[in-house]
Amino acid sequence: MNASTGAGGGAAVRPKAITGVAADSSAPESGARTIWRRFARHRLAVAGLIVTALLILTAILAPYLTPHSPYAVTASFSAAPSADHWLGTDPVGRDVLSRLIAASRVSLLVGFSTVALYMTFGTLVGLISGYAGGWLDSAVMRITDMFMAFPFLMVILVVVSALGAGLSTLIWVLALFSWPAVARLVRSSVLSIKRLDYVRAGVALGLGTPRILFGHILPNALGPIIVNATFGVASAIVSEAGLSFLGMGVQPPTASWGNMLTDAQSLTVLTEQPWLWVPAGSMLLVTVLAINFVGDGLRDALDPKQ
Amino acid sequence: MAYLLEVEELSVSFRTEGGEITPVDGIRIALNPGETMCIVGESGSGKSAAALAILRLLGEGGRISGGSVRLNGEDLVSKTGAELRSFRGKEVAMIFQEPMTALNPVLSVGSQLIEAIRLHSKRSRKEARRVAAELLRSVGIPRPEAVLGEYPHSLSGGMRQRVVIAMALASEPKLLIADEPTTALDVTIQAQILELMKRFRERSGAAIVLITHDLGVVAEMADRVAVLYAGRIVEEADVFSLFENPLHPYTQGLMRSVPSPDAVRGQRLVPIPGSVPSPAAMPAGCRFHDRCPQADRRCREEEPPLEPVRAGGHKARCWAVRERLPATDATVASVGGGL
Repeated sequence: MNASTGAGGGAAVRPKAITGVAADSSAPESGARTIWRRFARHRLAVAGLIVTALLILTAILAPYLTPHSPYAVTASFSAAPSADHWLGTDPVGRDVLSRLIAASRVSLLVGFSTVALYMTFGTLVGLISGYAGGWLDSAVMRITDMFMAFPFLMVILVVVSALGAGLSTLIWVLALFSWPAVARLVRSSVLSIKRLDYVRAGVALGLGTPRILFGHILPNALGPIIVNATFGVASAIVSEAGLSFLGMGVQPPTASWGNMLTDAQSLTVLTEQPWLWVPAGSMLLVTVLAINFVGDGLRDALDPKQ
Repeated sequence: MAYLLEVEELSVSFRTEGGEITPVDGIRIALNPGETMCIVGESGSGKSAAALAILRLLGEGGRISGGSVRLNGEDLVSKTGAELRSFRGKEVAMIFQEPMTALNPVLSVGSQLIEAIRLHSKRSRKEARRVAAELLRSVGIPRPEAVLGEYPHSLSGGMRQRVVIAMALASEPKLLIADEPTTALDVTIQAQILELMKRFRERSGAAIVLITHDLGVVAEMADRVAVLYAGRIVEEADVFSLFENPLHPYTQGLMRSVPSPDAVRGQRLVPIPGSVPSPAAMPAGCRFHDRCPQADRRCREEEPPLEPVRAGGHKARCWAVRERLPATDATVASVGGGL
């Protein structure tokens, strides 16, 4: 650079060579692969993913895995584990292991469908509210405030006693009280993303609003949404268990980990018949932990700051 | 001859907590096809707001509070959403300042470029991909096929700005608005990007509105220059008149504050004292009076009009300039301007 004119020709060639090298070393890695590489660094997250996958598989194959029918009543009530009933029988005489397996279906169904419902709705509301701004945004935000101010559990108890307990009521009620948090989360991402140049550039190119929202803003807001959804599944499963435990959720004879725990309300069962509640409790614990580990891993993997 | 772009008395207002401010106040631009108009000014002069207003991209709280913007005779200010969309990108394209944020980080270069191409022309995906590769080649990107599959983060700033330009040129707009397209780039890349824009202008005959604070860029690119100060055009001229004979004290100040190769060694640069007034507290009279060495009582009380003061459409907004220039010149010119 010191020889000003003489080096002109050489300088024009050099940058090209440098560009070539730089481009080769940073060989394009697709977004998905980067995320997987970061995710795989977390041992617990990978373990959680494997456990979750096994659970999903169990839920799908439940009818083929149960040694007995989860509804068949036998003559031995609250029997201790034996060769025939590996985890014993419940107070009505049904096989605990079979009910445990059947219940995985219910738990995961509640977890995933609740989250799918409220994530879709919350994301949609958040996108529109954040992008439109103005009075619409304020109105939507006041509505979410209202929902978040309700004593969640009380309302659920009232709704369930009014509409009658059941799987679909449970899913709808859980979703009804979970979307506002998602809407707020998405809205706040949209508020910052919509000011970025690439969004304005998209508008300047003549893209329509739906295209901007779903093609450009949503993919950039997806990280926190996915993480939130993962934790949401775990929390919906816990809520289902809690409500079923109280008798407000899944109704017997349908098995759910929550209503299987109902038996543990008696002190004798708690102290002397652990096979009635330990399996269901452990499944719940393992499931929620596994899903939360996945969520933790995803949060780090999707964090754009890394 | 009808102008390609005709901006008349354009005012832009923003709602703020302290009431409404008007960072762009009655500017007038007329541009022929193939011409480049540079809008020069410091930060806060309203130049970006003016550029965004042309495309109706002001965003929340901003609105066009007066005047009109005509492209090919069609008024853009009165257009509704769908009509605007068919104009944006197709007739007018915009290049933003920051190449690091002007591309969507989660989409590949190819998918963004192909989206831009297919938006205004009915092409198959495959066909659009071919056009995209061609566009990338035309903006000087090596191995365009490979770059199509890459994500913005793997490209350098200069490469990204080339991609941004390729996107803007995708549907061969008649007007290109560039808001400080080279500010974020280093000097060698700057020159290449300017060269690229020149080539585009020559090939397509499109007009360019270039927003900049860099007088070097102005000298390189402009046919005409409008100097913006506090939301007002204070001087407008063709590029040669402006550099040879800057009339407005603000323009003269700008020229003195920039190093030039002809300068006498050891000569100090002269900064303009003070800063641009806030749009919330515009001074009465000439907006430049509190920074102007020549200001007198009239300047403090009454705002001068933007009037032709020399032949060739050299306009200035200054009382002192009007007095100094030969009466005949000014009268002839102002009569011409009045018609």
